[in-house]
Amino acid sequence: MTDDARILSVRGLNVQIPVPGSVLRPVRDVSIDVGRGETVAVVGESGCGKSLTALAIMGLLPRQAKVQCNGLHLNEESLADASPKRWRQLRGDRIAMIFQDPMTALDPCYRIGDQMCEILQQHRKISRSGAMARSLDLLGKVGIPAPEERLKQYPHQLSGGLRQRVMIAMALLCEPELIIADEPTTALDVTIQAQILRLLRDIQRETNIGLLLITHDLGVVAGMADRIVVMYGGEVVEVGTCDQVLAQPLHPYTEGLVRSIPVPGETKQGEALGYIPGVVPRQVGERTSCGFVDRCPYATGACRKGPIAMQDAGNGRLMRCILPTDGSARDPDVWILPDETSAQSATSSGSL
Amino acid sequence: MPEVLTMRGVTRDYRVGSGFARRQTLRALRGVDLSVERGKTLGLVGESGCGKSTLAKILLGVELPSSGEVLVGGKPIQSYDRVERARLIQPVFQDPYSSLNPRMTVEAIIAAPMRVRGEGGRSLQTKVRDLAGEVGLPRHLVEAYPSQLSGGQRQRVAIARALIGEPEILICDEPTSALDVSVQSQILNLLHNLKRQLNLTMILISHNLAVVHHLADEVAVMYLGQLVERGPSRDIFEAARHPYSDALLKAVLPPRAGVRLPEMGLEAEFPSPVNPPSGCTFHPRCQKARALCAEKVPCRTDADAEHNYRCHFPNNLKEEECPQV
Amino acid sequence: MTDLTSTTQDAAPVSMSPGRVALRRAIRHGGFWIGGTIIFVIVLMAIFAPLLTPYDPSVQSLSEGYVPPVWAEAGSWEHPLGTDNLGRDYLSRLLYGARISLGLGLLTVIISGTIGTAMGITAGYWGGWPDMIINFFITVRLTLPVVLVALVVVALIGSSLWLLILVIGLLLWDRFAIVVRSATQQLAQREYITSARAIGSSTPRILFREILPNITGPLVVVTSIEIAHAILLEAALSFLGLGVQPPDVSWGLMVAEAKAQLLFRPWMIAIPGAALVLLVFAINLVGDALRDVTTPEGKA
Repeated sequence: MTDDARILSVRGLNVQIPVPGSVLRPVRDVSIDVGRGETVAVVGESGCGKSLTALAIMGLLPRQAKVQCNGLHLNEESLADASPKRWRQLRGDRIAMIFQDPMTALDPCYRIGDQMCEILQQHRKISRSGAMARSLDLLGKVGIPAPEERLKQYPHQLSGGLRQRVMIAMALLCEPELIIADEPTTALDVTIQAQILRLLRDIQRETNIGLLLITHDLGVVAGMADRIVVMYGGEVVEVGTCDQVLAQPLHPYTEGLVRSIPVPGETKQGEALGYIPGVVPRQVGERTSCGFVDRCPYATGACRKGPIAMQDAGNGRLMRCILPTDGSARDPDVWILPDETSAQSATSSGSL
Repeated sequence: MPEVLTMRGVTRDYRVGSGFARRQTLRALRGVDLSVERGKTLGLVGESGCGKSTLAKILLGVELPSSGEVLVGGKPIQSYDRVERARLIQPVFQDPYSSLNPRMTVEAIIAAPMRVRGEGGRSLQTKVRDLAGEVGLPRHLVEAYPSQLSGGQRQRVAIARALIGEPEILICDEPTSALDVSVQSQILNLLHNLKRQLNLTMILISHNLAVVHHLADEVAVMYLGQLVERGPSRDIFEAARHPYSDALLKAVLPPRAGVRLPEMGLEAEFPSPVNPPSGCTFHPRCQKARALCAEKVPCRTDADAEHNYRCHFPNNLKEEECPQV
Repeated sequence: MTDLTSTTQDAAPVSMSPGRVALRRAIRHGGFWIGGTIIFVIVLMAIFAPLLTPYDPSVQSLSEGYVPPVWAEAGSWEHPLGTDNLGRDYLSRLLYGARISLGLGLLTVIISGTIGTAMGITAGYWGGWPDMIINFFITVRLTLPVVLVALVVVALIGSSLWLLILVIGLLLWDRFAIVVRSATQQLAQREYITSARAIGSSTPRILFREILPNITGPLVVVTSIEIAHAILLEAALSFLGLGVQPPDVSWGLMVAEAKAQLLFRPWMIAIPGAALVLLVFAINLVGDALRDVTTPEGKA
């Protein structure tokens, strides 16, 4: 990607949160690029730091969190040292955010139309009737039936799917260059999820906005993303195009994730699924080894010698692992571990 | 094979609204007929608000049906007292963060069903520890409190609590949807092994069709309080008749390269269960709906002995076979 | 496999019950220490009153009336806090008064707490018509002016310490009922309550084993507030002459008896007044601390 096509460029983002007795480091040295018209998915499980990364990029972290980065550019403008006032100008205007739960993200006391007008009038010199007209226009565009009536309604009068459409319309009000969507469909039913994702993708293609999609769901990623950034333990562990990463994951964590999801038609009923043993460790202190080493079936002594650097795997792919980049050392069956159940019942009585 | 669990015409109404508006009736279940054979797993799928959680509560005996009957082992569920009922049916809930009492140790939580029956002592303690081991819970954690456990470990505790009384029927209400995917697969493996080892009858309630596909022998699809299709898992996944089952199947997004977002075509809103649409309740959202669908409630049609559905225009129907108004 | 899990699963600090977590937090809480120490000292002084002062609080010695406290010019260590108009030792009256104030606070809260908790749990757990009826009672109770009702009852039946405890106890249950009701309502939605029903637990078992332990946090906080409330109410009633009757002594009564001397001997009203303020302040400090300490994870 050439530099001028970049909407967002984050370099070496670190977040530290002081807690009694220690300092949490939930985001470490994260670098992400989003191009114009590109969808980049940040994937990982709970506690991997993906949501904090999004909030840090939006400048929305609470004050006690310490954010450091080597560069944060939105469309050439450096935001690393931007004033709070500049941030307020940017948010909702150049960068918009879509949250997981539209019910809590919308203010229950105000009508939909008023909330939309407020955003527009804050960022643009526009009359109220002009703002209403634009809001109406956008509600129609995101596929909300009878948009005139919706403008006069309160958030609780809408269903979850409609509320998320309203959120998307609000994000589009000022024609942003970048939308950050944090788990935009996790609270929705599966059939609604598919509709909302389609809507997001269609709008993004039409307007050439950069979309940073934060999600835990690899299925959503598969349907939406151009590129994938996989995070684990606050670090980016793998970067690549969507098809590359899903078809041939390089980092053991990504591989474990892909192997642990049942797919109707592919995995057989009751077939033992792969899984990643252990739990996500607390993110404290400096790294002295690979962050995934305790859960990794490929781990060797070399993995504990120090923090692992990002390796270039060719074709624009990166991975934070010392295994060969060509994927030759892989064994998909390594994830089909003997379940704790059968392993332990062999030693104990064996019956319930 | 004997049917261990049967529901006949089960309806459940709730009164909604408050004050002067306390007039409306929300019909969460509308005449559900269902039966499960011993040792089989029935997957119950549907979107939120379709009544699947109400169904679970009725099966657990926590709520009573407004009409219709629930038979367990051939006898009405009301004829069992609460301890007998608990001996037969046990739940595993969705959210392992709210299904365990934070003030009790893991050991006390797992032992609770036995203590209710008046058992205790060393033999119970041994049993709890053995069982904890068998569901894959590290032994040292039996003295811990739920807040010290990860999500997957908590769900193992909930499963151990459900199993300690050796029930015949396990009701799993979204057992993995609060968990991370890498943990979800462990719990799925565990449930599968347990059901095989213990010959458990299982009702698996889930919105995730991949999970249902993985565990269920039979699948029932619910929409607005009704079963719209029911059949062996393979039939539903390979040859669903009802357009709603179709839509649910299409909505599954597998994590594979080259997956395209499906065209859903369910543009209309999910209807309110307080005043459901006329005729087939799915018709406002159905792309194949015709005039007949808004007028006449489709009756249950048998595709074969095990597979039935409620639709005027099922998927395999040829144009000339369509019913005329 | 086994070594993998055992190294990663957080093995170290296992048996920390929520109660012990709260205790550990309490030990680090400043307000808890200050308030707790004050209450502890007052309780000790009340218990060991006979050992701390040689005087009987009700023995009069008219020749020794109005002795000022030790820090005044005419004061002496014989009566560190002076004497009142009848020559009774003020320190011993203060110490014995603490017994009444504390005892009354505790006993009334036991009565009101039992009533309020029972009503709150009933309303919150069952909902429906029990909830409506109990809500009606709460509303009716909230419309009653507490001091006025207590005055009327005491004026009609006559005044005794036990009647006073009973009347205050029967009046101050409203906050218990409201807080317990909403806490129970929230808990009743939790799946572990449904689980308890599904494993065949009896209703009393659910109420006492599942619900009650999980509402102790708010319950303890309300208790502390209500003890302070009851002590103040007793003081107000005694001040109006309808509370504790001589020869018993309470801090409210001491303030009442001293009101005529407000301009001439202000220490007579200041000493019991300050004691009241200190006690109520300390109880509220501890109540606040308990609220901080019992809030769930992460708000330490």
